[in-house]
Amino acid sequence: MNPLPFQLGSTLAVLALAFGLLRRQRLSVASKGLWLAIWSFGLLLVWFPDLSAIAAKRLGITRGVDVVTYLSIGVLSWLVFRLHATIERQQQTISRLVSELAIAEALKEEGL
Amino acid sequence: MSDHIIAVIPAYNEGSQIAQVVTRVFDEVDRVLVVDDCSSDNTARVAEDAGATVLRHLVNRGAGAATATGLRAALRLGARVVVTLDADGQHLAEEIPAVIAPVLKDEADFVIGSRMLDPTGMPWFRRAANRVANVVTLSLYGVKVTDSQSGFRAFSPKVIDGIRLGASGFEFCSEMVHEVFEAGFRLTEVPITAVYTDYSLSKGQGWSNGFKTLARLLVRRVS
Repeated sequence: MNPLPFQLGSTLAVLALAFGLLRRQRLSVASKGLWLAIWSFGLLLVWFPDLSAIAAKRLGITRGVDVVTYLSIGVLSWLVFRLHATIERQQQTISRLVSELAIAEALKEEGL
Repeated sequence: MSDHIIAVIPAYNEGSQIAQVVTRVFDEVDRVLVVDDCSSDNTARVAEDAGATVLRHLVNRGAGAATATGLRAALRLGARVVVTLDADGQHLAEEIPAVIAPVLKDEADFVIGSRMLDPTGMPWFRRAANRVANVVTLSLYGVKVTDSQSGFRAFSPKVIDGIRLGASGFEFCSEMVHEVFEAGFRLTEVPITAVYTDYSLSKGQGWSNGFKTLARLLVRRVS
């Protein structure tokens, strides 16, 4: 079966995502770089699927698709953990803001 | 520094209990701060009518966050010692002097009122849950205490200033013990009595809450 339609479709999808990503001004350069790297790597495997077989052979894993699966699980787990840590920090910030507002309101007559 | 003794009582929907808790605590301290964690009942108004200074959270943030608010406020008010206790009537106000004594005598910086030093009257399931929590605190933080989950605690001002008050939920109980230990502050425990009524048993940490607290502790420890 001819993989070209899939490859072209994937390339267009990644280009569209990249264009949308680069237009977002609120994301840091590091975040943009990370996502571009992940999508580019995915696109590389789409265009050169034998790369995963080469990696599998080097790592002693049977199939290239298994390498991709393990790598994907690892990357996704790390991304979810990072997201959770970010949310946790934001929760702490919210708590701190709520705390300071409560203190300011209750103690304003004492000048504190 | 003044001889100001300030009590901090974090409260969430304790409208039925808070008045008598505040009244009894006032006999032992100079000032009572009640931190209302966005209760849906009349906790704040009742506490204010009982004479407490009420700090109101605009949104519910959890027991840890409410405790942190009260501790920060007490620090700014120039407290000599701060005592925290539960709003559900589980703790005896008459035992406040025993809990704050080590701080006032400069024998300790942080005191835990421990129910486990004399667990008479403590339901078996609460003892079991407490033991599990103590094992978790020891495993995650390397700190051995007999009652890591007690909300009846005394603080010197330097402890409040020197630890990170970050945890919002009940995981703050264990995390605070770790922070105090890591910072090298002097920690001690004194026996306290815990009053268990149907009401107080319905409050605090149940098993399902305990599992959530454990999960949050694990994530906070790793991240």
